[in-house]
Amino acid sequence: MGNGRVFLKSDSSKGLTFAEAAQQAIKLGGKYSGKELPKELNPITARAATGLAGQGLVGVAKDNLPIKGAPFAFCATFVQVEVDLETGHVEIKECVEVADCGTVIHPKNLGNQLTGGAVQGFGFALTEKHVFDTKLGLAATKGLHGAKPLTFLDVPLDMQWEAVNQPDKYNPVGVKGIGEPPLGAAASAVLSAISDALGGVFFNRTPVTCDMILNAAEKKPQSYKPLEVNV
Amino acid sequence: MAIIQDMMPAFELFQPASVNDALALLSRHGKDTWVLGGGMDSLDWFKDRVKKPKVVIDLGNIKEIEGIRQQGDGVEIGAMTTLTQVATNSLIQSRYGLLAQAARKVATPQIRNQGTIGGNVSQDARCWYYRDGMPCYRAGGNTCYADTPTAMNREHCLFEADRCVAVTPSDTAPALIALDAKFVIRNSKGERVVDAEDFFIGPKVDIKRMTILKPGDLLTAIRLPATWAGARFYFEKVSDREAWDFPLVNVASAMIVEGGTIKQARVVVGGVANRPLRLKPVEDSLRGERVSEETAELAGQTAIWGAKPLNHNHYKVSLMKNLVKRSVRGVKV
Amino acid sequence: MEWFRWERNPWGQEILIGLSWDLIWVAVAAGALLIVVHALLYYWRWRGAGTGKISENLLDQLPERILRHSVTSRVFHWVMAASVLTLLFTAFLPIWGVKFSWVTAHWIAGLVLTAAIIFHIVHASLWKGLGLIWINSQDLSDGWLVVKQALGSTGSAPGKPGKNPLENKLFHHVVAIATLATIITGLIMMAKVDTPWWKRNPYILSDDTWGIIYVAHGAGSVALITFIMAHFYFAARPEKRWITLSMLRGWISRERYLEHYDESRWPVGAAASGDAAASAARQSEVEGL
Repeated sequence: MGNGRVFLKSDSSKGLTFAEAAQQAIKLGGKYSGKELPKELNPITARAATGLAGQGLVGVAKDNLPIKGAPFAFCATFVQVEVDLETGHVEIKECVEVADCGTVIHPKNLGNQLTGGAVQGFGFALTEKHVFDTKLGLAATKGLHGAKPLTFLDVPLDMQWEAVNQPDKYNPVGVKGIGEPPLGAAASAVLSAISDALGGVFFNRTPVTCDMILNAAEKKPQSYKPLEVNV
Repeated sequence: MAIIQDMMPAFELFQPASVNDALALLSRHGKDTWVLGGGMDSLDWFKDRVKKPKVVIDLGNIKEIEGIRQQGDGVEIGAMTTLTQVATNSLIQSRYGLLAQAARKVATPQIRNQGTIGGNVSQDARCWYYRDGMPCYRAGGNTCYADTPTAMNREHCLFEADRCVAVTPSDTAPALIALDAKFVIRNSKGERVVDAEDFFIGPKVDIKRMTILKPGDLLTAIRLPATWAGARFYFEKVSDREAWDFPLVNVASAMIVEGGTIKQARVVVGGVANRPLRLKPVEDSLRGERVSEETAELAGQTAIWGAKPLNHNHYKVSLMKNLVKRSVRGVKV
Repeated sequence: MEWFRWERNPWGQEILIGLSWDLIWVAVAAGALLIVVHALLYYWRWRGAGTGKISENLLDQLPERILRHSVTSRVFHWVMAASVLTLLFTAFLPIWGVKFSWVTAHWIAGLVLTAAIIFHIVHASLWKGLGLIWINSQDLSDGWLVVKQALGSTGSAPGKPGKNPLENKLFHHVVAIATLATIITGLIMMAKVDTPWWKRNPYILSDDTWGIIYVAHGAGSVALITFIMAHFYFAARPEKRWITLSMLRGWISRERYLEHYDESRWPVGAAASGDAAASAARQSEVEGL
């Protein structure tokens, strides 16, 4: 495939444009246009496919490949932070992530997932929380402004990533997912780094905001009680 | 922030071309008018349907209150000058760098491009109980919900609580007070000039307003005298994230230092009281002292005398102490 | 005119906040009306009515000065007056537009007034006697005769009253009710102030209940405006000057006593308190006339 066409590898002049292929699929009908569906489809997939039927070339299948064990994806994140002990401010100086997500098939997308996930993870660790007033049941952190996801000015300009690129033997293409691991890894890395910077103070909660760091640095008690949440 | 409910309730919009026209409109329509600067705060109030004025007077077309110009040996900034213009103006950057730094730290570039300095100093409190529509003292009710044994008051005040514990959210306000700015206010009776310090009022004076502006008043300009031009400045804002966030505590200081000795100083802290606090005891302790770690340490300790923390904000005591210390030390670490 | 102030909460409910401030002007107007009506009626019809004859022989039996208010009573009255005026000024001047830091002065004056009231209830009940202030049937029949006389009918004249004529007792009662309503609700509001003994906690009551408390507090205090305007007016009236002075000096002259009061209902002569006469005599020595 290339340039919007599908063609013979041996003779590239023999081929169809995507549009022509779609028209042909509609003419042929049946399993090519989604009118006939495999039996074992998930009901939701079947409904989606039926909705698209007759509009072009529709390919749909269920993953019936044998699974042995659980193919988890992994991410190892390394973070260097600078903690200002006078203001509690945390600056993330450097971030390197290495992912084990099987074969890399779309490097740019994988990079986005890893760095984007890390930014979300930094937010989990540093600013994002739910705060409720317990008497009124009112939520304090509403809207984009209240939720406080991190901004461009809060994340390092240069974030490095790598992938192990070892195929998953239980997948025909060798891939695994990679959506969630970068978040957890980045959040944990930042939290560990802050605890290290403070000389071994463990907060056991997220986010670790500047007021918590400042109280720890100045050896003052924290404002929250030990098991109090949504503070 | 409150839940976005629906469209803005209807109002009559006026877009006068001169201050006199605006003042005439204000006196004609009386109490239910709203003065619109950049709209960065106003539109949120309208959309959340918490404030529903009948008449809105948009100052965006009034050329005479926009722009930065030299005035004598000082500078006059029109109230409708955007924060980006203030932050990037060469006159401000070269002689009043403190204000440029402060303006640079407000919100986001998009907000700074549209938001005005007049609006930034006149903005309303950000206490989330108040903003969410709770019927508190500031909103006309008879309770404060942020000063209770279980309230979430991490962002609230340390000083001058008088039935209201909200804080001043402005970044430019402390810088303007440190520069001894003068605020020019016009109403139908004429023009008056107030010191920046007196422009901001606390709840003990009037719990429903943050500034001295009354209905019918218009802030038209802010004048910076030459007194503190070119002095040694320090501005630092501490907030949860680096952009689009109000200060937890910020500090603005201007010091005239000769040969390592502080001749004059002005130190102003925001985010710890309902108005930006000019720390006169700290200024007194600095006068005549050498710039040193001991002086800085003493200044920090002096600054926090009399602080009364609430249940979640005692970190602000340490933070205020450290920021004042850093403002004397001078270099941002 | 609005009677109440309401605010909405984020759940769309209307919360009662308090009385409308318009009622202040209603109270002032009511007070002014009372004053004007009384002044007109007095000068038109009542002038000179109400003074009785003095029997000469009784004069000699009485000391020159009759004690009306003991030192303790007077101190109580002026402390109460000062605290009530402080309360009213700190409450209403900011609403009128004079902005200043009023909250602390207000509740301190309120606590002073509370102490004064508690003292007064004990002192007046045990040392003075409740009969001085409770309205009895003779008061009522005399009062009815006064009304008829004022309206012009010529019938039997009302008798002379005891120490406190009906109007005094009525005034005391309405002021007591207004003051107690304000003070009791005010004391509940002390839960909203940080003190060394407790931390501020508005959640002891719901918002709606607080609204009712604020309405009662407002009603009592606004009523007090009217009552105090009337009180100042009567205190300033020339024909009542001698009573006003007795709250400062403690005594009234024996002429006034015989003119205005029934000896049997307010005994001060030989039969009654030798103490009263003696203390009046002592006082006149102390004060040197």
